[in-house]
Amino acid sequence: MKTVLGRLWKTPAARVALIVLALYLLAAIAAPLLAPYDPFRMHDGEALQRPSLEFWMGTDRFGRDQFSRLLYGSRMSFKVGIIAVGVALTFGTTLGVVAGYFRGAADAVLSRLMDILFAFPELLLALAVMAVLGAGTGNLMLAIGIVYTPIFARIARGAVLEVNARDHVEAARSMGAGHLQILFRHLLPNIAPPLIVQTTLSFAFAVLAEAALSFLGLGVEPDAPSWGIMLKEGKDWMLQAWWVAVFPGLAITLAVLNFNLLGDALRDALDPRLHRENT
Amino acid sequence: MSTPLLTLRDVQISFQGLQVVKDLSLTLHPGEILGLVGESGSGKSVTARSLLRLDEAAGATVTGTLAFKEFPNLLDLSEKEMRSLRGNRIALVLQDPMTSLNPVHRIGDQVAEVFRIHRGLRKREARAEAVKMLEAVGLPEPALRARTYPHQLSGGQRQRIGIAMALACEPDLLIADEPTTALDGTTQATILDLLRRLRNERDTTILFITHDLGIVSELCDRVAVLYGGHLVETGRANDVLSAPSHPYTRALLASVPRPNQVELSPIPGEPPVPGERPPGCPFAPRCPLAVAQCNTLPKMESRTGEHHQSACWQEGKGTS
Amino acid sequence: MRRYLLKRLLHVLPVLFGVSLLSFALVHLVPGDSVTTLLGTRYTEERAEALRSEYGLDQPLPVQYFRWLGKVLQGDLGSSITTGQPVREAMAERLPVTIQLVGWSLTLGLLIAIPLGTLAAVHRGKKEDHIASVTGLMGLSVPNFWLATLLILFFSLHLGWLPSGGYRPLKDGLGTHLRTLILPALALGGAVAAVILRMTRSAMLEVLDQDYMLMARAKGVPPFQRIVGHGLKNAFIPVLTVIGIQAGYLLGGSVVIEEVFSLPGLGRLTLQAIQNRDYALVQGCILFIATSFALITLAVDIAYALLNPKLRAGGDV
Repeated sequence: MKTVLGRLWKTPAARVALIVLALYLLAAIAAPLLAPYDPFRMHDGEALQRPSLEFWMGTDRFGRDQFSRLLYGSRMSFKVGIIAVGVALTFGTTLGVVAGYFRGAADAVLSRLMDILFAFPELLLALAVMAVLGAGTGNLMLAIGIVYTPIFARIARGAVLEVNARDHVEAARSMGAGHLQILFRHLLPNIAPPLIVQTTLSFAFAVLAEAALSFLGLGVEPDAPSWGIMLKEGKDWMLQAWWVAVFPGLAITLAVLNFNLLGDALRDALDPRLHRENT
Repeated sequence: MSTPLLTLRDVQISFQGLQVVKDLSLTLHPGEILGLVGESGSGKSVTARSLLRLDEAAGATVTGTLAFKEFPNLLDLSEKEMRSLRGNRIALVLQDPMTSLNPVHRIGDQVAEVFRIHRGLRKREARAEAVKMLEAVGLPEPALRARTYPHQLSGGQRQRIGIAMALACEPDLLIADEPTTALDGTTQATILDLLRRLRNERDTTILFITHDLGIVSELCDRVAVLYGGHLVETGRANDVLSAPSHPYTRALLASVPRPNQVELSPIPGEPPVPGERPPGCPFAPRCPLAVAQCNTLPKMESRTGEHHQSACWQEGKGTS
Repeated sequence: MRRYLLKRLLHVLPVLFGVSLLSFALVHLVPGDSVTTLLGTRYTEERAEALRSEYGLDQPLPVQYFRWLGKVLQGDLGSSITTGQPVREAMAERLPVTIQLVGWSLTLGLLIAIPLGTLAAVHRGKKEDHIASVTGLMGLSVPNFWLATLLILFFSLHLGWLPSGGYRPLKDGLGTHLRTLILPALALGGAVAAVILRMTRSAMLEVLDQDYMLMARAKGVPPFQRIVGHGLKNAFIPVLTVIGIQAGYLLGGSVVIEEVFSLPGLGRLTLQAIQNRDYALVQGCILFIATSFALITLAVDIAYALLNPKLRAGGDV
């Protein structure tokens, strides 16, 4: 683990990504401390103010401080991201491991199930789930979690199939190791790398998905400080108040960009056997 | 002898600062098959490719004189001029026929391509000529085969196609870089026969790169031995193989396993890596006859017999 | 090849079945009494009765499903609860717009990505490569609805060159028609271009290393023909599979982009249906879009089989 982090730190792109993401995480955790104003507070008579010393990123049409909302938006994105990806990772890996380890009927059924979920475009599936459940942060996290479960399942299954066939696992099995032992001592540690990479990448998409769904009005609650909600409002005021839309968009872009960079770097660092492009 | 086809004089080849070939001087005569022998890392493939100037895009630096027919130095030509020579006056056959043929092009088209580029033929005419070439290299049912893809053919067949592509425009010089190494014994023999026959029919000069001395004795008129980026011996194949004068050549011959031989006698040590070569004779570290002299001065060619040259301070001494 | 195609077809059928099952289940997963929820504020006894009989809601679920499936296979997807218009009709009206949007997005994406990706590979490590890679990464990270907003700000509001929304069909004139689609196609195609660019670059890098590219040089093939005719032709095969996956992104993204640019397409219809709780319409749209995606994937597989000579001329991959 230490060597992986060390290797990551050496790559300039990954180093930047780690720093930026750490800053985002800091904003998320310390938002209540760092935000100059309450993100819900509407300042009378200060609607649509340009960025100034008083309001660093200006205000929206309700007079709410954009900078504070942006910080809290990071909190929202991380909250949604962690839970949604957590759900997808847990369920997906479980399903994938069961399918890959026990093969047979379980594999056939589960793989088909995942294929069916894959047949839905991601956003559409999330929309459909939200349509059924109704808007709200909790439902949103579940919806995104469901959408990303299949990819984790597929990766877990593939990894299990590959690791299961490795010599040290065969050896353990022939020495009488039980299923649980093999699963926890041999399989899980070895299938971790691709899952870690996917977690990072899925986090990026979870942030995008939350923003997109909130933008459409089918995500978090309408007045919650979310980057997607901010963009939704900002869109209508582009001419008069460009700052309302530009800053949240930048926030999302930078977050996704750095998650992608980190994911790519992790992929290179964790599996040197994979085809790597060296400059 | 007749005017040489190709003369290399003091050729140096280096890759990103590492010298791969040093002070190479060699002549090729029209119509002969010259075997270029050496282990991997000796610089033989690089030398061959330098004649087509293929490695410069990848960072190779080539200096010296490459005199070819009417061109006093190929190194003075522009890329465009080189392109008109490649596949036309000088052609190349690579070692692995599976990877050297484009998997998504039909083989007839791959041969026809040289006709279209260098002879300006149109599609149909080029295809017809291609079929003729396929026949000339001994491919059965050439018209049918022309429409197939490389993966549908055997290694020997693919190599014939490689040769067809190379000889299509009747080049003056054919460079064959270990064309039979990837093939099995019987196929190897047929390809060698093919090359010999084509040389006799078309009078093509062949630079045959190999590490296999058996092929040299069977196919080549003359042989040049490379070691560590230096030329250590040249001469007629019969002369060199029966009476090798350079210690490396001698050791190489001795290391070839013979039937009924119980103990193998490989050459002790490893060939030098580019950049780690000793300043003097590259073979000195492993040479049984090495003396202090060998470690200080780079070698020069000296005469041991008519047209049989080797680069060794100790030439003529020692037993094989 | 026939064996491969058959295998793919057999694979698609259960997926389509599952898709239909899931689409059907949507309505019935809505918490609460279906009829009340379905009708919401438009509840009247009359409508409730009509709905119950149309959906056969008093029947056991499996029966309901097969009744519904039977109707679907005959082309009857029910009627919109809000407008009463047959779902099939409503979708048919909107479909061309979405097809045009998705088509142009993909085209623009390919036109940008393949040359840039090839350039990046050929000039690996140099500034062309860096620029292309950064462009690719940006395209992946920028949210398409934000990009759309920025494009509108710049090209519509600031420069006034292009409309900020609305749709003009082809019969209104090609120029007029295209002007309404350029910005949406750019916004939607950006991410697609990014993915294809990365894929093209990595595929080309592998191809350029191959012996047959060296042989092409040794034959005197001119540079452009060598890169494109010998190189890209090989690299395109893996890129094709990526295109298939992108279709999913395009179909999903069309919802957002059509909304931002007020394009009367299928995506926007789906969104409105969801917002209006018009479940018959939602069901129809989702079923259609998911089925289309599954079929597009199948089509890409077929194209892959046709293009890959190893599959075409006998044998399996």
